[in-house]
Amino acid sequence: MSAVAIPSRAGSLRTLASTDHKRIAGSACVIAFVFFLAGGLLALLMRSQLAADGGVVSQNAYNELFTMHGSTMVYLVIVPVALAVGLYFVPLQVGAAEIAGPRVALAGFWLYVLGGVCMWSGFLTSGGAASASWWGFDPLSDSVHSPGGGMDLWIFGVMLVTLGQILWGGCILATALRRRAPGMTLMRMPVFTWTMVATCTMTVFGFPALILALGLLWAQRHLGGVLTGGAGAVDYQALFWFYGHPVVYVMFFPFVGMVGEIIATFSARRFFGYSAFIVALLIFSGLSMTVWAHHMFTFGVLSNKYFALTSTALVVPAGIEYFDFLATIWRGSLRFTTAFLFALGFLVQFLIGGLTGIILASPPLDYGLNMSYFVVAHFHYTIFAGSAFGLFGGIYYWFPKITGVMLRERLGKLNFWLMVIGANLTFFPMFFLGAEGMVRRVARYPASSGWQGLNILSTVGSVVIALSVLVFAVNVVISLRRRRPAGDDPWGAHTLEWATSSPPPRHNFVALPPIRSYAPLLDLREAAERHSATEVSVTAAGVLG
Amino acid sequence: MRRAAIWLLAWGAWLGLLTGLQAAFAPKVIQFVIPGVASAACITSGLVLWAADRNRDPDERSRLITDSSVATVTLMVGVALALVGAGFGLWLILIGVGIGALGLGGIVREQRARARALRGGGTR
Repeated sequence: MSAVAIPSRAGSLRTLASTDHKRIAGSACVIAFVFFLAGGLLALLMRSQLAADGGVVSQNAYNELFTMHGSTMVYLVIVPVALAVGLYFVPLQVGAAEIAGPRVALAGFWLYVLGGVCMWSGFLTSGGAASASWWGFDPLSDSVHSPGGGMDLWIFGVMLVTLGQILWGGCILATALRRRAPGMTLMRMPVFTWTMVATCTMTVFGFPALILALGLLWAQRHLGGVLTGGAGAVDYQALFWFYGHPVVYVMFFPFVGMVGEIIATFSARRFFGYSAFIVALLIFSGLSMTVWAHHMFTFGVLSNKYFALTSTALVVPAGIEYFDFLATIWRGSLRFTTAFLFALGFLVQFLIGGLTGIILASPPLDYGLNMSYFVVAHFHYTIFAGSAFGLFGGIYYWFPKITGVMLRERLGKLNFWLMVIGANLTFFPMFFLGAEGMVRRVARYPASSGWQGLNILSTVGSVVIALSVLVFAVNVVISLRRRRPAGDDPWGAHTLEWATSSPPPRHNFVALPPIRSYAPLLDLREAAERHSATEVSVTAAGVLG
Repeated sequence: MRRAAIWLLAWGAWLGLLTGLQAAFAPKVIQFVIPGVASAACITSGLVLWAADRNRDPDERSRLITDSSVATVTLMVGVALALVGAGFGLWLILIGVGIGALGLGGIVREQRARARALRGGGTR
């Protein structure tokens, strides 16, 4: 297969309407960063409210803040970024000239942008933005309890964004399955690509449930009689959580893949237990589609025992993946770059999120902790202290490939340590708050509760996180202005994307190296080392002879 | 490439097995239906992919890479407006449908241009 580029049009049009998967993914990441800043600002407002024990915003405004913070971070930041990174790197990692369905990928990008604008434009309506949490609880989200256009805009926005994500998932999956270069068999695909295959399978077959749920919610709001009574609420939540739990893994697997690539590269070792990792990924992603009702343990109407069993069973594939990571690091020649530090941070902090997840997978314990700050802490340890660390690791790792320039390591390490301190200071106190009975989504708590100290600590932590993000932004600006060229492969990495120029050309590769394993560049280096060793021994033998 | 379907078939079968396991736990119908539909959709996709790849020759044709598609953007703006119009009135739906139709026409035009370029023997 060969590829020819049709001559391009004007510059600005090219960026807005480009079908190049790299441009689409780059634009999506920039927009996601803007949403990240906006969502982070909402979080800072919430933290200010809780540190001051009320008085900063009203209860209604607080409802809007946590709804839009959660919605922004899940629908507009972590999931789109996870998929966008796949959109950028999967074609490169499998040696494809182009993404499958470039127009579809572009359509997905615009659905994401328009959906995001739609969700946020709720703030401009007279009733304010949506305020029924990122789950859009029914009946809290019905026309009686959430009247006004804000909730409708939220519903339409989330539908558009989700549809866009399904389109992206389809493109990435089709690329990995059908556009691989000669020699790139399924069992030679890099670890990150495999995690994207699992992610996109879940996206394509799990996310339509959310669109259906939101369609029913909209019909209930405007027509009535669709989600009625307790059964209606259960049906809505069942559909929502069939999306809502797999999405947690959509926000996890790609970062596991990034961390896997980073660890193998900076340990200078082949990824340990590749086949076991792929099998674990299959088991993990399938299981993660059957744990959703653990969010509904307290309803008492679904089979709690089954969902407790599947939720607890997740530790088996997760354990295999952790074992693979640790075995790859073991006896490796470690290079403690910023990317590697973030990868280690991911491993340690996600473990806290994962272990507390086992507690919540037990119905009797969940009865006590459900809707408390313990759940908030658990969730943020998985998504922020875990996945976001994986994402920052990925940014520091792949930034040279995307831009052609290196990020500053010293600023990167400052970014890392501030984020470690900030994340743990923010989220660890929440475990204690939850265990002591502080429920989530409240703007005020009793003064006699003694919770203000821990809340202040948490708020200080969130300011430290904001500082770390500022350091990251400064790092990006400085690195792009005072450019230090990266070259094609600054890290001595293993996978195909490093075999092309930085940034890659329009159709990705001028020539491909031979592909004989999931680490073709490592193969080449090892072959070169063997060759030079043979030459040395032959020369030595000649001298001795 | 025929092996590509294995992933979808295996994943769909695994999800189907997990869905079936619920039978031992006195489940509600909805517990079966939602993952069951996802599992069936995945297996069906796998079978379609397997059948499509079965008779596919290695593709040696030149592939044209379109650099941009304003029509796709137009179509998506139309879709978004038409959807939001469901909450804000028929007028917005009609505007959305109109813009969407423009976009759709543009995509047809792009496809015809692409076919012409391929017939014209794009260089390899």
